[in-house]
Amino acid sequence: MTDKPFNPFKMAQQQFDSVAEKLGLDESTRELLRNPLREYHFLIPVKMDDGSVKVFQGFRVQHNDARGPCKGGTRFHPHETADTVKALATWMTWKCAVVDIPLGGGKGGVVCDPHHLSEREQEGICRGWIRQIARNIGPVQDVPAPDVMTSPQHMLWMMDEYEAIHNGRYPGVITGKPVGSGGSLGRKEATGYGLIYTVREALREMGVDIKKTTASFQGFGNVAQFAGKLYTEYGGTIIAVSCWDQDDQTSYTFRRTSGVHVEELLTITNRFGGIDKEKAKNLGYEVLSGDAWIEQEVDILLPCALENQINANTAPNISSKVIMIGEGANGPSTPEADEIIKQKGIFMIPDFLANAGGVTCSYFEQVQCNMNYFWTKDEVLSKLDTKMTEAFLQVSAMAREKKVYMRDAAYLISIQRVAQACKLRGWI
Amino acid sequence: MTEKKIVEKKPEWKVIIELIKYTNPSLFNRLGRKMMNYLYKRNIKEIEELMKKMENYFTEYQLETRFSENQPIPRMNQIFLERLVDDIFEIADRFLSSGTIIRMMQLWLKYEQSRFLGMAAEKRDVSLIQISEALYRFQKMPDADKSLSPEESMGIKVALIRRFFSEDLNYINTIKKYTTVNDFCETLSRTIGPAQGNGKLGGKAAGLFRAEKILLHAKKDYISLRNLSVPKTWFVTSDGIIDFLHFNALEEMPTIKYRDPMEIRQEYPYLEQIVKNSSISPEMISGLSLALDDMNNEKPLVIRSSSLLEDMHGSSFAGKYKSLFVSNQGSKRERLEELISAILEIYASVFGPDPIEYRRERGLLDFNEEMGVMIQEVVGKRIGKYFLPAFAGVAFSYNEFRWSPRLKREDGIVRMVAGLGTRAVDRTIDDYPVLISPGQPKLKVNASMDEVLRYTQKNVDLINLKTNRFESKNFEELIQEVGQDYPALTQIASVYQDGYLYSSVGNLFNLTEGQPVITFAKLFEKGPFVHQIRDILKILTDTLGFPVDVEFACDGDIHKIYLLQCRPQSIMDENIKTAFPEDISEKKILFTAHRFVSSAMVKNIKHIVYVDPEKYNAVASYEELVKIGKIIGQLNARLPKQRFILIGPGRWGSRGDIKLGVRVNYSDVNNTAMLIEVARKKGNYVPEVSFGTHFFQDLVEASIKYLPLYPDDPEVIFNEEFLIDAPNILEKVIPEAKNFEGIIKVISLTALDEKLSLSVFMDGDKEKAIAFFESDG
Repeated sequence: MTDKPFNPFKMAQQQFDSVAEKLGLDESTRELLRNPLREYHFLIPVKMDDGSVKVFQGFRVQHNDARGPCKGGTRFHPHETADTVKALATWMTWKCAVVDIPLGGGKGGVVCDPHHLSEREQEGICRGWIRQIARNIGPVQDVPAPDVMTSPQHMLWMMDEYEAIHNGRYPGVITGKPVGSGGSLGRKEATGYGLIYTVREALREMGVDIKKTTASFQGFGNVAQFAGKLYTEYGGTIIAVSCWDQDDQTSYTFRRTSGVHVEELLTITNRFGGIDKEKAKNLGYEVLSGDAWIEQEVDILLPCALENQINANTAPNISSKVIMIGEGANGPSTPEADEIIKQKGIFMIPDFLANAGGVTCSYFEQVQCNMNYFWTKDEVLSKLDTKMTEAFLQVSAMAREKKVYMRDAAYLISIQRVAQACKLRGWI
Repeated sequence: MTEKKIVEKKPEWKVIIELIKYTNPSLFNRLGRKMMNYLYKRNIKEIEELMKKMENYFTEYQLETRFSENQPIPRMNQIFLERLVDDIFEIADRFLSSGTIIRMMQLWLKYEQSRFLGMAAEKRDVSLIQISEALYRFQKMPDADKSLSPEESMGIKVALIRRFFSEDLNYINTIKKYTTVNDFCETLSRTIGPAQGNGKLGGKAAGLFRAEKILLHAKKDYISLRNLSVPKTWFVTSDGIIDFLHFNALEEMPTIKYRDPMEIRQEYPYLEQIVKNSSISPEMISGLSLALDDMNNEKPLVIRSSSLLEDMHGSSFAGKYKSLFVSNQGSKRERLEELISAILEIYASVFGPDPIEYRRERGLLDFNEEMGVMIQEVVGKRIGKYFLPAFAGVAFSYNEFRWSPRLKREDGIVRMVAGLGTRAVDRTIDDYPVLISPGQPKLKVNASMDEVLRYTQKNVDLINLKTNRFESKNFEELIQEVGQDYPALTQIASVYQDGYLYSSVGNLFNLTEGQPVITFAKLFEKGPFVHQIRDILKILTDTLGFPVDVEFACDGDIHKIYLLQCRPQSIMDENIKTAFPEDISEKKILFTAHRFVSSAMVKNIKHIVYVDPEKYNAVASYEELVKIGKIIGQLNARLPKQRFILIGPGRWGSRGDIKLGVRVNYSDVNNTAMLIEVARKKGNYVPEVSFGTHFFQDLVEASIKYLPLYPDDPEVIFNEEFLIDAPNILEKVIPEAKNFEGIIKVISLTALDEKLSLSVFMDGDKEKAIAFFESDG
């Protein structure tokens, strides 16, 4: 899901190959895991508003379902390619495995641009997509979710079509639905909270009292807001947050050494996580440059915005006080940065573990849908805590055991789990 | 006894005609002529003979009097004319029944009663007071509308149109078909001006009057227009400003326009204050006082300029003169002062630097500009201390900014906002009106949730009746304050909750847990609006024969729509069509285009920034691709504003796959005059161009021209060689970008030849565009 140029599938395969080497996987396992199990390519004829018929190309890739039904988004994109979809499906397999939820990896899409389609036509595409794949997806086979340019509305149309074909109510066929229509509570909080659960556990292992720690955030969107909230509830002190300023088309860091108050900051933050500069100054915040967040003398850095933010240029600026980085965003650190981080001896909680709270909550949505019984928000979040804590402990144990970097440990553990499942089933 | 019998036998009409003959000879002549025409129309042979005889007689008479063609025709004796009328009536007596004659005479005499109106109207330079009195008298006549013959009615209408609205023959030709004399009575009963003056109501008033009458006429055929109306409006005639200048001894002001533009600009703030501190004549004050008495003091007023030059075909003056809102609250004295102050400000704007510059550019400087004023009730509702319409906006016949290749130019475009329409009429920098194409309302600009939320209207313009000020208020805060009292809220807003946008079910909205977002979702889907606006645009465009630009508002009753203004859509077509260069030698052409062309003209381009599509595609590193976007941003900051164009592959500003196009933000391109996207074939597939990308609306707001190029189409010229061969000055502009010289090319035309520049002509009508080099500077 990281935004990478070039043949993304090749990249995913290279990544896999290097881990497979470390794990010493046999040839057949490698053969099986470096390619998707199943790929569906189909056509979706849609009656357009003007009476004409347009034929769209649809995909669904199921990379591996040895550990459970496939899980992954369905995107609408004019330049969708099989390679992108295959790569994304592969990453989903690893991501589900690292948090140890019983799901495999999948991804799908339709080659179309919703900008040129009316809502009714988009509904036609959603329903047509389901009609073509209805036999091959389902609550116990493969569970799609929203992705690039698809929304909860698209998911509801898809669910409705699936249920019409299968003559029953199967809300667990799809996730990302609105609360009240089969959605789960706690979805908003999930990624941010999940991040802090892992941070909490990491600190505990290091023997550091979270109450005595300070942190600096990059970004103040959904993830950072909830992560910040939970972190301060645990007693930590946020020193700085940075955010994008739409008007000035640049980012700023807001610093208050006495502590950033998330609730207070939220009253002056817009829907896209942009903080009002002037009002922040009045509240006693210093407004610094956008990259100042990374230079702060804090214990923890939490990049929760864009990819490639910690790179060869910025990583040397990290203060020697920093003991930990928790990657709330997708791919915030480049491989060059990883090397610097290793040298500095900073503990890393890699992205596909740290931000797996989102996919875990999707899993919970599916579970609740399948039993048609919905939990309270507290229930969801406490189960999330259990899951994320457990996942973290296992990855960190692996890192210690094998003496590897956390990112590598996370890959090792997830690929090993999937390989194991395939083996137990007698596939390889 | 016998004599009495004879008298009785003499038909009544003869007695009357006899009486008229001796008391009012000219009326006698007119009746005779009318009867002659009537008989002629009924093919009575005798009358034809009489007319022939008359003709012969005239010729003989001319011969007898040795009349030559080159001298005036001699006058004939009244006795002769009387005899002729007698003959006519004798023939009538023979062929028509007494009943018919009496009936016709009654009708003609009735027509006679309203002759004063025709006489008044046809007088050149008739004063406002004279014509108003005549119209008033006419209106008070019993059966007023039946007292005019069709020809006379037409004559009067045309005279009134010419006198008050426009002397433009096209205008007259259209409007005369859709009006009655009574329409003018109504309008002029709400007109203020120097009593002895002969000013007009001005362009804006003329445009609105025309649109209103055409649409009212179409009402019977269009259900959608059943509830169309125009807010109550008073007019101040255009010579009010002349009167004002005289009254304050400011007669030299009109000559300001000939001064140096810089000087005008510097002096204007001072001048504006002089005007605002002047007074208006007691005559005007009493007129305005009358207007205020007539207006609903619950409603604020909008004072609109309506100058003679405004809204003429080809020069719309859009946004050049002011429209001002006044709260219309408080004592009569306060209301009057507020109104006068606004009118004076509009008067001052005639001498403002921008309108004068605009006139200079169009060769209209020598025209004796006068400024009429429209005083209009603001459409809307009072909620708490605020007054605002539910929504308002502006609609155009032609969509010059199509965000999808499926849209046609004729599908039109509407820019609309919640609250006062000011936000839709003016370009806004940090806020977004909702755009919809009434021909294909379902093809939306914003497709993803992020786009819908990002490109939504954030602030609402309204009038605060407590502070008596025009204000912009954050929509969410406003809704927190007034809740569902906001007029037609469920039609305008959706509620954003947990990543989903909910339209209201019925009238219920959960505002406590979600946030309201302006989408107009329900109005577009279920309301009558789309049909209304589509029909309005279609009828006006078809009837007038040119595209229009219409302002509208709705007070909260969504079935009702108010028309506020209508003018020709300012399309540069007129200029482009006449100037579209046809015989440019291929050597001078940089490119041509035939797809998705909107109308625009860009001249005097001195720099071309070209991102080579092939080279861009070959860049392997993601970081380098990002860097290219950054360099474009730097160029945007350093090259002279509006004097350069950007040419590059696929989608500028692509947020998804960076390979689809250079990743730039709006602020990285905001100074360019034009954004050009090259769509080259790759195998079977042509990359899609920028239609609908997220920053499309930013381009609209900034008026940045946009054009996709398809170099692989047949008949398209794309002078790639020039772009590749010309010297690259990138390093000079941004020394640290040297490594990118192979991909980004900055061509300085001035460096090639001091007088060299590039012009781009785009004709949306014919879907053709051309960019070519000019060397005359």
